Amino acid sequence: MACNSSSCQSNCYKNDEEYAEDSPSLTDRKLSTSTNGQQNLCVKCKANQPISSASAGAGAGADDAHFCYGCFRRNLYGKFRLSVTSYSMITPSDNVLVAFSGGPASSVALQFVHEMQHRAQKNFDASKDRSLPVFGVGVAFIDESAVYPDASEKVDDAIREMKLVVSKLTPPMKQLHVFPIENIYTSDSIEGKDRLTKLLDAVNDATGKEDLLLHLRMLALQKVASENGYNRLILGSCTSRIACHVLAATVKGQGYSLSADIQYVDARWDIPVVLPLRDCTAQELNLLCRIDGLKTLQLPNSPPAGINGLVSSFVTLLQEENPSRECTIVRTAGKLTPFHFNRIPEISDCTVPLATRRRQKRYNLKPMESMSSESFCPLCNSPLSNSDLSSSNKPESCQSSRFGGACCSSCRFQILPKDSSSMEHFYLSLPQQMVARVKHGSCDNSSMLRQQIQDCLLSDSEDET
Amino acid sequence: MGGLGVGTTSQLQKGGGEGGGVFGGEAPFPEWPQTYQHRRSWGSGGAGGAKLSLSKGKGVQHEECSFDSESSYGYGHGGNIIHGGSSSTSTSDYGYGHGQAHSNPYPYNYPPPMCNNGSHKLDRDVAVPPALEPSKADGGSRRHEGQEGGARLCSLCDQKRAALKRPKTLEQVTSHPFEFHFFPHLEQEFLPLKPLLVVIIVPFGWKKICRECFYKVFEEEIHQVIVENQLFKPGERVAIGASGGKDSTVLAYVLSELNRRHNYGLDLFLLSVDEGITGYRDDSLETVKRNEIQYGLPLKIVSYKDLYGWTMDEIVKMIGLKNNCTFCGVFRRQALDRGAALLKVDKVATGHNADDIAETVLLNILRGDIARLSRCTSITTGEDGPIPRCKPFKYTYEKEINLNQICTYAYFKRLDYFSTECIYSPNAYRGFAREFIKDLERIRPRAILDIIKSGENFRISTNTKMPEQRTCERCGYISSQKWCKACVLLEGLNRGLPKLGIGQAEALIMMAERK
Repeated sequence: MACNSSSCQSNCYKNDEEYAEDSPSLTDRKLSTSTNGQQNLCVKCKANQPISSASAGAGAGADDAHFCYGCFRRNLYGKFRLSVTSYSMITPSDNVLVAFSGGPASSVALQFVHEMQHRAQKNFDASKDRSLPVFGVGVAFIDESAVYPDASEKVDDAIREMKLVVSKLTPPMKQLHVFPIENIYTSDSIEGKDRLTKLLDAVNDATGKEDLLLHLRMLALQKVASENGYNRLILGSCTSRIACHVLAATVKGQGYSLSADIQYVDARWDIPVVLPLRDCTAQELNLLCRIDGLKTLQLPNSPPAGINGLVSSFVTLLQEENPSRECTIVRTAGKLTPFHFNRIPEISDCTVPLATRRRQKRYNLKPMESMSSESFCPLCNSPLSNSDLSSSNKPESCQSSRFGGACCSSCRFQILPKDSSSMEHFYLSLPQQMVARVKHGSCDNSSMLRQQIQDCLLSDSEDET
Repeated sequence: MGGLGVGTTSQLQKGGGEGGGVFGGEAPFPEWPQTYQHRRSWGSGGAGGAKLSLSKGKGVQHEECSFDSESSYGYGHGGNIIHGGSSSTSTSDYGYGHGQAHSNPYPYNYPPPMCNNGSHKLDRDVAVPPALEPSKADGGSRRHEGQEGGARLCSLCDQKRAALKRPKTLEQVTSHPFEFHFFPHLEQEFLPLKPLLVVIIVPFGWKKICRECFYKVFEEEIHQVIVENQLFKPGERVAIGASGGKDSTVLAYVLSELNRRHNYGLDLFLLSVDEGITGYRDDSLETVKRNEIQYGLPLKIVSYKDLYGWTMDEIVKMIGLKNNCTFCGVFRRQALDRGAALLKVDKVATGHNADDIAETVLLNILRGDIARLSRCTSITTGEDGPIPRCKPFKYTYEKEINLNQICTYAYFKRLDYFSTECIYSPNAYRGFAREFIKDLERIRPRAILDIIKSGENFRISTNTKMPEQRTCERCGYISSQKWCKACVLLEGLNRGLPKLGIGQAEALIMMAERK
């Protein structure tokens, strides 16, 4: 469900200082609330005080908070639940892994998933036949101290905190997987660190480096999930984050693949990735963390640089001007045609309850055969447009340049080193999974090419006649 | 133009073939030096680079000057552009033998008419951006003749005095100034952008070029875009949307020049819209009227007052400064079409450049307008409508490789243009987008073209519900609703309920019909 601007406006909780004094919508609303005489009541239940006055010290906006705590929380959880059920992100037989960074968004995601699981557990315990199992939940933290060596102590502290947080989220018990990012290499940890540093150092562009790290993080999460038997990966990407991605991808020339990244479900990975917080804004999540006292951790990740930094400050600016702007951006991008993999693969298993299957059918997207693309960029795993494909079909002699040719144009520009010797180094430092993507891809390509020229090829039998 | 090799290279043959096909048989650019046919500077080296940031003439000058001091290049304050000293004489020796229009280059014979608001004088000081102005104060010290030893001759024709410099990033690319380099990875990347569309001639490795060669490079780039996209057909009547600003003035000049040179066989007209903004449009229209004489193009002015009975001044008086751009934009769009219909033209050409289009892409995303998002990047729009529009400057960067092409062109050609921001200044959020694009351009020049590329590649399903095209029941103009937006807004104005026209068209139409 895309949030429309009206509902979003009423749900956006913002700090005082984030509102410009002359914001017209704000003054309008001020007027309307004061004339209604309901200034001090929640707009929904009309019984309790809105958050702002209830917890004045918490820093919630004075005028813009319309819900009382209970309604606000229910509303937020409702959005989460709606996307989980609508897109059948979690079914009873699943084993889901929550990607946890310690930030507000993933904290809320973890909290909500826990609540859902807790409820399912209660139902399970109460039911007689115990036919519906309770889905399993695990937590993954990707330790990037190899990339930021100065901060390894802080990361250790953070991990200690996380263990505490996760241990409190019971019952049922959840396992925390701490995965050092250098473990994406199959080799031992020291060598992995070395290769990782080399890989990142080979990238000159600040934005490119950041994006590459993001792709590596996803690789790591996928690895944790598949090694530990999870079948869903839950990310805490919120509306604000996705809005930034929409603009950043546009600026980087990734218009074609953009629609793949911003859907609720992204099953192009081995373990499908789901975004249940897609309709919640960062402001809402921050507020919930604050008033729920959820422990958020500040990790030493450097603030976004280059294009990404520029985009995020631009979006912040726009959001200040109009509190529903982020929603509008995500809604626009949501109108782009998704890919065939933007849905959970159909369940044919008869053991799954019929209701689940029916619901899945209803919400799942219609497959769009004509617009599907089967080749992906080995670095960012984004689907390649026809134009990218046609440019990559040139036969290349050496492996590294073949790899370069298989990448999307955006990665080629911002990530791949320009001169051939550093490209060679870069290629050698790549994790195996990325290199392997090309090998698969090239097979696909040649078979695809063969199909295209099928009519012109003479088979042996034809030759005789 | 002696000294230029009559370069019939493969590139010329290609250009000639296509140009001849479209425009009737004449070799398109017989005097072209041996250049390699190449795409524009898709990858001009990423971040960094000299920051010669010239104002767009759309009113953000004051923010621009700061970049100059950041310039990491050794070219000093003026960025890449070196001023050729006695510049007043060197403009007229350029020409292809039919230069009556531009031999009358600058409004010296026009005593600068006084502007009503007094703050802008229509003379060189205004028309020429500050960074380009050969300032006496920094004259000798800022020049770089000594830097590379004396003779500053154009590295293309080797005869004329060089007047421009290209950035060092390009100099490092090739060792030999006449060797034209081919970058396979860049070629590949944007080849599919639009098949064979952006074939633009960028001679790599020039260090310094003279004005004449710069003109030619610039003009031939536009020519290539026109030919490759078949923007015009011989015998067509084409109106150039002329605001008097920099982009449209350069467009009018270049189009009339190319029309003559390459026998496009077009009947060109200038078409201006008079919004009725005192202190802004009246002054810029004076510029357009001078252009009419300078370029010998017939001018048609359509005014809001005549078409709608309202001037923008009156509208602003009624509705205030909020939302006035909505009225102006809706009315202008229709006014252009109506003016075009009055002129009986087949096409309208507008001076939108790459930056404008990138900005439009972003704004459509911010606004949630998927229908416009899908069509705003095409070089020709409205082909199913009565009068299509095209944007020959679609691929013309404001700053191409740190060289503000349009601005430089207008400056050296001494084109007569008007540069003031509209006094009813635009809404904040378009301003945000423009600032954002400028910031982007600073850290990654190719971001502009990447945005356009994204805009072209967005997966917008053909069966996405698009507004159905109808005709307005009132005025017959194309519309997606019962009434066109202009009629709705106008009805609101005439009823004294202008706000209704913006938000609640339905209510307004019902009100009108009940009567």
